[in-house]
Amino acid sequence: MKRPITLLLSCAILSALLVLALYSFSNQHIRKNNSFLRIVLKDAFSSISGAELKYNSYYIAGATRDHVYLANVTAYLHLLVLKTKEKDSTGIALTDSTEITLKIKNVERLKFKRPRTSVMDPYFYIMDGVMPGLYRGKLNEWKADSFMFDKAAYFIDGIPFSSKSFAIKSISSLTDEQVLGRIKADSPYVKFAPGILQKQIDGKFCTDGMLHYDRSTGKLVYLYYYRNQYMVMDTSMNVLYRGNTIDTISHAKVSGAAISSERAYTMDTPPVTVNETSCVSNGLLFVKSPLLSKNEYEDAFKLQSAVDVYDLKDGTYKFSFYIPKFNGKSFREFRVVENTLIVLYDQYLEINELNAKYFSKSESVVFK
Amino acid sequence: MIIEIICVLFIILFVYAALTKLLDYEKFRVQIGQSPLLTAFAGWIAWMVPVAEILIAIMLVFIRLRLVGLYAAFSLMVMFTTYITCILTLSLYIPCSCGGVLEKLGWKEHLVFNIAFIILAAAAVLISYRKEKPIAQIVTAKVN
Repeated sequence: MKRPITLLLSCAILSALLVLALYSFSNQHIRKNNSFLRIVLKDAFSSISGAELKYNSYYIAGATRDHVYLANVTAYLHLLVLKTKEKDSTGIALTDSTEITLKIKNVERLKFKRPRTSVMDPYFYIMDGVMPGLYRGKLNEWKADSFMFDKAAYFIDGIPFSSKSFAIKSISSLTDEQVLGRIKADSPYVKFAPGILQKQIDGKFCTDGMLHYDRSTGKLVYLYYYRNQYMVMDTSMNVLYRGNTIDTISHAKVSGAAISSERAYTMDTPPVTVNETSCVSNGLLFVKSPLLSKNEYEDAFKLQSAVDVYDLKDGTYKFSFYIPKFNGKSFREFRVVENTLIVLYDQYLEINELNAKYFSKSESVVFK
Repeated sequence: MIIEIICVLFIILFVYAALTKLLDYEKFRVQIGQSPLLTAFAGWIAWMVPVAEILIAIMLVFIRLRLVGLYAAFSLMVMFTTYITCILTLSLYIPCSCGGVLEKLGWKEHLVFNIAFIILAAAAVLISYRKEKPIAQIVTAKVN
C-alpha cells in the first residue's frame, strides 16, 4: 500500500509545483521598479472617521462640503448619504447616514440598462448611456425628471459640468473608436470632439480613461488608464494642454480580441494599468498609480497604495502620498472636497482631513 | 464497481469540460489570456488543457490504461486546485474561465468541487491497488 501513496503524493507535489512555477514566471514582469521618482509626503492627511457599509456595490456618486453620496450599482434608485462634518467630542463622526430611495418621474423601471448617479450640488443626475437617458433632480427632494433632450447619443460614461451640459465618452459610429463629446440642452445637442483621444492600438481599449470636471477651475480632465497622459480641456472641449503622469509608460500595453459567439470585444491579456482611479479637486489631479518608482522599496505597496498629485494649472507633478489598505485590499475610489479626502474601500468608507500645509484652502464655488 | 463509477464521473467531467472549451475555443483562448497567471502561456494552455482532458478520459475507458489515467486525472485536478488557490490568495484580481455549467460555480464552490474530485481519484487509485494484489498473488501461486 506504500507505493501508490508515495506516487500520489509525488504527483500532487509535482503538479502543484508546476502551477506555482507558472505563477512565479507570469508575475515577474508585472511589478518591477520603473525609472521615475516619487516624492512621498508622510503627513498628507489624518484619518478622522470611518463607516462600515452593508454592501460592496457602492460607488461615490458625489460629495459636497458636508455629505458623501454613495450610489449603488445593483440598486440604482438607492442612495446612501453620509455626513462628513458632524462634529462630536472625538472630531467628526460618520454615524449619521440616511438611506434614500430616488424617484424618477414618467419612466418605466425596466428601461434602464446601465444607470449611474452623479451628484453635483444642488442637483443629482441619473445618466444611462445605453438606454440612453438623462434625469435630474434636486438634492433633498430626490425626485428626478427628464430635463433635456436625451435621446441624441449613446455614451459609455458621462459627467455633468453645468446644470444642463455633460461631457461624455462614447464610441463613434463612424470610426468604431472611443471619442469624447458633450451633450447640451440646445441645438446641436450632441457634439463630438474627435482628435482628443489619440489612438495607439485599437482606439477602444488603448484610449480608455476617466473623465473629470473640476468645478473650481472650470476645466475638464481626461486621464488614460493605460498610458501616462491626461488632457486638460475647457468646457467647449478645446485641449488646453496634454500633461504626463510621472511614470514612463507612454504607449498603452493592451490587446483586444473579438468573441464572435458573444458578439463581444474584450481584452485577451491583462492590461498594464498606469492610472487606476483618479479624482480632481481645487485645481489638483489625484491619481492612484500601481507602479513602483525607483526610490520605493519593493514591498512599498504591500500595505498601502500610492496617490500622485498634479497641478492642473501647468501639469506639474507636486508630490505623492500613501493611502493605507483596508483588510489587505486597496481602496476602490476616492474624492477630495475642499480639505476632506473621502476614500471608499469594498465595504468601508473613510473620511480624512488633508494637511493644510500642502493643500491650500479652496475658494468657494458658485454653480453656473 | 466503485472504481468504475469514479471513472465514469471523471469521463463525464473531462469530456464535458473539454467540449465546452473547444466548442467556443475563441472565447476560451481569450479567457485564458485574461488570467493573471497564464497570460504568457495562453496559446499553449488553451490547447493543452482540453487535449489533456480528452486523453485522460480515453485512458479511463480502457482497463489497461485506467490506473495511469487515474494518476493523470488526480494530477490534473491538483493543478486546477492549485491554480484556483493561487488566484484566490495571491492574485490581484480574479478572472473566470470555466466552461458551461461550471462557469456558474463560484470560486469557493469550485474549490470544494475540485477537492472532492481529487479525493475520488485518490480513492480510486488506492482501491485499484487493493484489488490487484490478490490477483497478482494468485498468478504467482500458479507460476510456482
